[in-house]
Amino acid sequence: MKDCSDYQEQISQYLDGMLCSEEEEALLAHVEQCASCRLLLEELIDLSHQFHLLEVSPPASFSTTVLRKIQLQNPPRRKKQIRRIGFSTAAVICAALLGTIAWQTVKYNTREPVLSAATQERQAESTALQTWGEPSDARTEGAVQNAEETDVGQRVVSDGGKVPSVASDGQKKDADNRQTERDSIDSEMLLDREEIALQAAGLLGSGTDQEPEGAAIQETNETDGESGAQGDSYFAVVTVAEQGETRPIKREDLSELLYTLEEENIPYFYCTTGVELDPDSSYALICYLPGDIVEKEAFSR
Amino acid sequence: MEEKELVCLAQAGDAEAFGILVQKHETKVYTLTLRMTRNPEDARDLAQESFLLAYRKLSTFRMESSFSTWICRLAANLCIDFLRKEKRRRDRFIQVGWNENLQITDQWAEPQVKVERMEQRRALEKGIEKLSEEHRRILLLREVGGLSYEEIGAVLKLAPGTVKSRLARARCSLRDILRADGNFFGTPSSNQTKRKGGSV
Repeated sequence: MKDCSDYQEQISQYLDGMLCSEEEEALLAHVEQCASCRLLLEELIDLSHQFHLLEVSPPASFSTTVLRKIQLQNPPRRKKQIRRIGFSTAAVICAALLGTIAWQTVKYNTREPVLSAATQERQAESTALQTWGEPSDARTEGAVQNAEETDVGQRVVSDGGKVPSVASDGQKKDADNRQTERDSIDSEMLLDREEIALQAAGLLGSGTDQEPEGAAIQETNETDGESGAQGDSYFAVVTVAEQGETRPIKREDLSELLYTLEEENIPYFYCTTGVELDPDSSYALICYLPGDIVEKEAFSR
Repeated sequence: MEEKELVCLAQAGDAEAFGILVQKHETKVYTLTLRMTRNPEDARDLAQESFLLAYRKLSTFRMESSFSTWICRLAANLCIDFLRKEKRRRDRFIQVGWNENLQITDQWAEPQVKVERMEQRRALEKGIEKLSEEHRRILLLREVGGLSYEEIGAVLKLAPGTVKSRLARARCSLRDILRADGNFFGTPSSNQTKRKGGSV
């Protein structure tokens, strides 16, 4: 049988709600009969209710000091989150841009064989031109002749650094027959590009883009021996798909062109292979002229 | 705003929410550290360190107990470590103990505060000071910090059975001291047998 000393511990546990119902009933039954234990229970309950008297408020600046120390030790996480969001956004934008470029590349690479087939055929048939920058009477004569005699010329296509070709009359007719099988939009675009490319070809040797087309071509013919020296005047040809305009540019004008494109939010891509333009899209293609490939690479670096 | 919401916000990095938690529990934590160390400066530093530690460990708080209990447990651990390392509690008590009491008394010295209550409080402080170190610590952890038996055992490195028995002895010892003093149980109410969770 328990004595009062045994119940002291149970009274303490009772205050803390640590007894099970059976233990609690047994304790209360004892307390009802034991005056000393009942007094002990009453006074301990009273005592436990008075511990709040020990409460002391901290110094006035306590919480402020704590928060200041926290800020000093730990920069606000929200900034990190914003930074993370910023990085994430930048990553998404970069991924989207890369995806767009990759898509465009795939898209136009899939079109390339259509253009390349005709181009390669013409290249195989053409003996006039070997490189854009190479001085050649035959090349110049052929180019001038094409420019003067027909509205169907050659394409500005630099295929892996190979030269664009200029077809002869008979070859041009064959090419024209094949050309008529294409849809009208592509044909018109190609014709436009060919015409302008031809102009660009003539201008390559002239070094004077202010001259009228015919005069420029004529001058190219006349100054054929200097064309190699002046062949670097034009760096690339630029075509804005939406405008359908192809024009040659000098290297020193490239930065201004890029600035203009960026100002007008026109995406632009560099290419060294023949591509077709999508008339429904708005972008610019900057095709490096083969003679300037090495310089282009230097410029890229 | 409920405490759980504040804790969730603080865990998400909301310093303002944590600031509210600090303001809500600073008195309890400071009281515990003050009663444990009996030195206002050490108590302030330890209480601040408790909240800083809580902020660093906030991600580990699973709300299995109340935030109050959790922060008090952190504070208790810091106090125990502090007292264990310093081993100068007795000297500090002799030097500044009663000055601290006077300072605290001044904080209570408001016109509406009854003299009886002030005397009761002073008697309680004296009684606690007369307890043995182990009884005082376990009593403060339970009554001021609100720690469970398991938490007390973890802080003081005691077995559960030891916690129960030591806590019971500490209560009885304090009760005996206060009875001997004669000021605390001056007006005993024989029928006041309400306990925290019910009535007898």
